[in-house]
Amino acid sequence: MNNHLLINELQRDALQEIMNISMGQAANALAQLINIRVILSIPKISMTTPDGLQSFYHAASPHHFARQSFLGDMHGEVISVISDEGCKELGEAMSYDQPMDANSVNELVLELTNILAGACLKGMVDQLGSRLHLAAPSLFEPEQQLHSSYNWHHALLLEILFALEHISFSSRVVICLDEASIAVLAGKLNEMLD
Amino acid sequence: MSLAVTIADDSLLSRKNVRKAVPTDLVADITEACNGVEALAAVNAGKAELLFLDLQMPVLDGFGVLEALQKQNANTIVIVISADIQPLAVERVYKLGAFKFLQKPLDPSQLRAALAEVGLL
Repeated sequence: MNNHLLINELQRDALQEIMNISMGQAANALAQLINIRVILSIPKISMTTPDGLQSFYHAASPHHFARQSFLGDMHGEVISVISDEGCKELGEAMSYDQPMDANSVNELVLELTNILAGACLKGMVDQLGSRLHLAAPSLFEPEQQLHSSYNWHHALLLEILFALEHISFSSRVVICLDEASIAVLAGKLNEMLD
Repeated sequence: MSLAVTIADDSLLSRKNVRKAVPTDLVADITEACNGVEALAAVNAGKAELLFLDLQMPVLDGFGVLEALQKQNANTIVIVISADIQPLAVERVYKLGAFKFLQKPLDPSQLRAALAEVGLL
């Protein structure tokens, strides 16, 4: 993975704080739903390529994957990665019928994607004074993800990890922004830092 | 006389935002700290009659700072400004003696109201 960022150190600090706040809002939405404390960690910011993202998926199996694309002055997609084991434990905490069948697991993955990824992205956009349209999440299999479907060469990878107290649940939210969107983002970060 | 104020946050953006939000009618001598240890050092150096405290910080987090202040019976007014807004975090902060909990992104009018409540405005 290429760690040469298209944003400078100050912008990176600002983006990290913005993601921290967005993550706090997403965690609060989840905590209110299940009454369990969400443990927050510092978001990771790096650059990636389509190949890099591909290896990220492989490193993360066996997991469930969902994606939501977004359009606006910044565009890209947000991906959530949820462990199968964590999903089942959380399903129990959320009173899903046990054992969970494939349909209810899928439903829960989409629900969590809306709560976590959606809130992260919304928090980020609100703070940046930006607007976007978020599509509905859909499940996908990374193995069937062909390179040709990526129309970017470098993307900013914002990786956010959620963990729960007393439950072995962990979830990653990854926001991918293409190069044009990174330039828009950098401009907005500069305005905030002024 | 000016009030000794410390802003403890690891993020430059957040420290800037707090600085911008401090009302101009509060005559303040502002010190910045990037982690909990620096925040405690500022308190012990008499630079924090009022402490704006972030919770998620490296080295020593905001909860650690509150615990230390409680132990040493420090005479510092603490206003926590945090991204972690979960009910349990808020509850813990108040138990540890914080005067007020404000959520990020910081709303300057809420900061103003908190300062008025503590009698600094």
